[in-house]
Amino acid sequence: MFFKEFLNRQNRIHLKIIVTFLCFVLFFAIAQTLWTTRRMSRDFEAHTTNRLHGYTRLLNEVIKEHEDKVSFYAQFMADVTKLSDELTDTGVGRSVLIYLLDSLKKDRVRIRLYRGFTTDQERRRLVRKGLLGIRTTTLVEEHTHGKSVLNIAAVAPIERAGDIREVIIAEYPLDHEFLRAVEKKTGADFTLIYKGRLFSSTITAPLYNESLFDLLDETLQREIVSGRGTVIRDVPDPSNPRKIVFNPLSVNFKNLGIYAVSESLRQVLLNKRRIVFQNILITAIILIGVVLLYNLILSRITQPIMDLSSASKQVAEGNLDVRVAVKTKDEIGRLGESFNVMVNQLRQSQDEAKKRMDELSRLYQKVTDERNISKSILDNLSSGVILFDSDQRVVLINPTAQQWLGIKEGQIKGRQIVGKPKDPSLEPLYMLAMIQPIENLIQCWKHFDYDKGGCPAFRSDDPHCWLTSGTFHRDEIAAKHTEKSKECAECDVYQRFRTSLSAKREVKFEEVELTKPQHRVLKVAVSPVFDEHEKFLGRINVFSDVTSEREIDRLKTEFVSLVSHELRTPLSSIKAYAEILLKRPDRDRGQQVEFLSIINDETDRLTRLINDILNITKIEERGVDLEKKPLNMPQIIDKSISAFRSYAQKKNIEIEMKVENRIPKAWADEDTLLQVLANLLNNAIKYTPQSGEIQISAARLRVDSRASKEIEVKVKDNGIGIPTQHLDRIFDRFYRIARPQGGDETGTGLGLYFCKYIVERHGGRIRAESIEGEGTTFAFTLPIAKKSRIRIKPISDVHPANQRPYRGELREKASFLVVDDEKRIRDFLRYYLQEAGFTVYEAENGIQALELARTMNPTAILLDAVMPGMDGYAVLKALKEDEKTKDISVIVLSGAEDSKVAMGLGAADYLVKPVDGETLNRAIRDILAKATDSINLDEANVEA
Amino acid sequence: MKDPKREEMVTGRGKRILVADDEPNILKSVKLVLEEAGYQVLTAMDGEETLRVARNEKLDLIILDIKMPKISGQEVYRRLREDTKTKDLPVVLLTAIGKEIPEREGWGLSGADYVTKPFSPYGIVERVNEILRHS
Repeated sequence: MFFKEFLNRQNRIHLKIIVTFLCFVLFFAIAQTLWTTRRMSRDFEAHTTNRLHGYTRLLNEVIKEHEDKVSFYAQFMADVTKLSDELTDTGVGRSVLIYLLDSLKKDRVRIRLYRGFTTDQERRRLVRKGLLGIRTTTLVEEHTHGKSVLNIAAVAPIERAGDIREVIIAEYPLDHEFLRAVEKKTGADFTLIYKGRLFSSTITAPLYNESLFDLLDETLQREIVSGRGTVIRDVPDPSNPRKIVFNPLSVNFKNLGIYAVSESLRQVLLNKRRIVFQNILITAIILIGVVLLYNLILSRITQPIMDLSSASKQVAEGNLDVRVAVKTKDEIGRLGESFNVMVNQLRQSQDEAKKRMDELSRLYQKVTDERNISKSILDNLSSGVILFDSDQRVVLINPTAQQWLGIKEGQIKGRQIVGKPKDPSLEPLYMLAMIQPIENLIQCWKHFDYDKGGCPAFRSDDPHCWLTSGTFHRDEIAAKHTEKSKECAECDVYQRFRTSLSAKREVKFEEVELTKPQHRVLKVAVSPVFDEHEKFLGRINVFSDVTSEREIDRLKTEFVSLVSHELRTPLSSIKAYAEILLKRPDRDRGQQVEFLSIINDETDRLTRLINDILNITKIEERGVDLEKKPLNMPQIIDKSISAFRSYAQKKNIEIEMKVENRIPKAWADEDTLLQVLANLLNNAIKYTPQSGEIQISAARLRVDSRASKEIEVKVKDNGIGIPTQHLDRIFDRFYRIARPQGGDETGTGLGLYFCKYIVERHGGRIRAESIEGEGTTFAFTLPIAKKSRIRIKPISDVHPANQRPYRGELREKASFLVVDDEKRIRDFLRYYLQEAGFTVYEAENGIQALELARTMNPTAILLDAVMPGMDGYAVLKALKEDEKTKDISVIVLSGAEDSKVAMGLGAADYLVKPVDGETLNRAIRDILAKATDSINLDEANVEA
Repeated sequence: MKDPKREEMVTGRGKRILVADDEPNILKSVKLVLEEAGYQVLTAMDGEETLRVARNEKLDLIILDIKMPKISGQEVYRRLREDTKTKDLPVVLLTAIGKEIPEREGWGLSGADYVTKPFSPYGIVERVNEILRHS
């Protein structure tokens, strides 16, 4: 956790502090260690040297001691020996000797008696050796058993009769044991060197002893022996460094050899290591201490502060539920408490603010909603609205107004709409802005918010308002201004001004005719707008589009004038000839008849005109109820032609019908379509001279050689034609072409108008082509009936509840034979009849039909007229000729309307295709009624 | 024409009058009564013909239907007044819509006599007589 915290980015500053501190501690520790060890080694060397000197001195003293001891024993033994001769036989001499020998043994002193110098040569050798004649000590090298020992030796001569024949030699070995004894006292190592050779040493390592002679060459040996004194050397053995003191070994004040005292410096190294270890230990302790301290600080000071910091961060981020834990009572604890209090207060005030904000936003929402409502009302209003402020600036203009005036709000927002616009597209707006409220009182209304100081009486520049308000009269203005201003301050002039002007706040209506962006007549209502303090804010122009109303008005006027003109024209003729006849009743009979027949014709014309006008008025007012259904065009055309056959025959005009094969059915209202055709045919016959030709054709309209969804019907004549300039107007109401040589009756000018109206109501178009003198063609289109429009009604539609059901017993007995080569029609009929509860047989050709009729003896046969092979009529004939089948009722179904043949052959009924349910229903009911009668008749016969 | 009784009625004394109307029956009736009154009557059935006759023939008066094909009576009247040859020619306007509408809508027909349809043919004769007596 601790290291985690260290690694934490937020604790980087702590890490820095700690690392810096540790570096400092480490540096201090290393410096201290280095310094201590150096000083120690230096001190230790000095000490060592001192100590070695001390040991040197000690060894010198010990040697001196032993020198004296040896000397003493030698002299003593010499004396004793001399005496022993005299005390030989006494017990005293023996016991002294034993004692002496014991003490000698104890002191490691060896006594030798050297006697019998035989020659002078030998004596001289001894003398040379310093052993003879002189009581002295010296070093004597002794070789025994191959081993060299160096002894301190003292020689005491025994004089006998003035001649020395014997000597006593006392020796003390400077051997290993001796050195060990010294070593025990000092702890240093001692080595004895004599004549360049090592005699004994406390150190047994041969390497050491070898290295000793590397340091101690012969020159140095001579120098030491000859009196240079002490020489100090270091043994540079890394594993075991030593310091060595070389000293002359002086015996009896003569330097005879060298001894080396050395001490190992390993201790120093060990000490050094110990100090480094100690320092590391101390450093580690310090580190651990620091860490523990830090932890303590962290937990006691830093952690609460960090908690606080993180808490304040959360508070800053908006989390007001944060509280810090207060663990201590110190400053940090108090800080935490204050923090908690602060957050609490913050939370409270925030809650309050939130509440207020909620309230405000609710209010704002309400205002916005209301504003949106007003805005959407204004946006969706079908009237234009423009609000001008008191300075004629546009404050508001709704989309309708923008559209009508052809401007964008951005173009004019804040612009003062006065005078003439630079941009011509703004003209409509300026026209509207020109309309002022009644009597141009804007300036006066602007004065409304003046207090008494702004009393109109003081405003000599605006007499218009005084006059308008009636505050002053014209003659008063100049003369009584001063007087009135006094009055103003005291009396009710100001009040009167306001009251009278307020009363003039009527709405003013005016109509404006715009030519741009399109022709439009606007009815504008202008009203001044005041706030609750009667301050004039501006005016609002609300305007509606009355273009169509005005157009209707105009058309109405035009219609009335046209109608009156049209009615007066035949009336004029009638009146003229009536008067002519009355004035001169004596005219000849021919003239009388002529005039009377004119009167008669014109009266007829007047009647037709009135009827047509009434008809047109009716259509225009209420429209026509078009009962559209699929219409078989050949039938319709045939029907219309037959109505005009006699009229055409009178003029010996031939009418030809030319219908495209397999033409689809038209979707149209039969009655009105027949009227249209009648009008066109009537015109064609009327304007075609004797023996002319008329052709009615119908074909599917082709656009770019592709079949369209329309049928085009053409009525073509080879008559007088229509002058080109009239062609585009002939469909207008009451439009007629003056034809002096015109037909036997005069048109009303409403026929083609009616045609156009009806064709357009069907979704079609009508046009006329003509070459004067060659003929005219009228062509109109009708939509094709869609397949789905073909009326095969579902059975539920066929016999609704109010329809009388077939009588039960008949249904049981009745059966039908359906004969048709088309399966679709057979299916329809079978389905229909079975649904109604009848038994149904089917035959798809004449042979089958005859056979079934004979075997099944159905109640009735539904027989298609047109079939391949044996057609319906042949079948009918065969049925009627056969005794067995002649009484079966036969209903012939045919695409043609001519029922004569079928009825002549004895068909019971004749239905024209397409047959709808209702027709079929009726026919079946009739057949069944007859059948019932015959049954009843039969029964009556039986009873009789 | 040889009937002495009729001679008395003849007041026209051979003055030439143009009658312009697109309705053949009306034309015929006006022509009849004017001829019976002794005027020489020319006829026209549209505006173009009217102007042509007016320019080419010497006329004393024109009876002009306002509503005519090709060139309307109103336009014919305006052109007659512009032409120096015909500008002083008396014109009687036949109208089915009365006097008010043309006057109100400023058809520029000032200085014309109006006869509103249906009219009395003999009334027209009297009116023509009256005008021609003054001129």
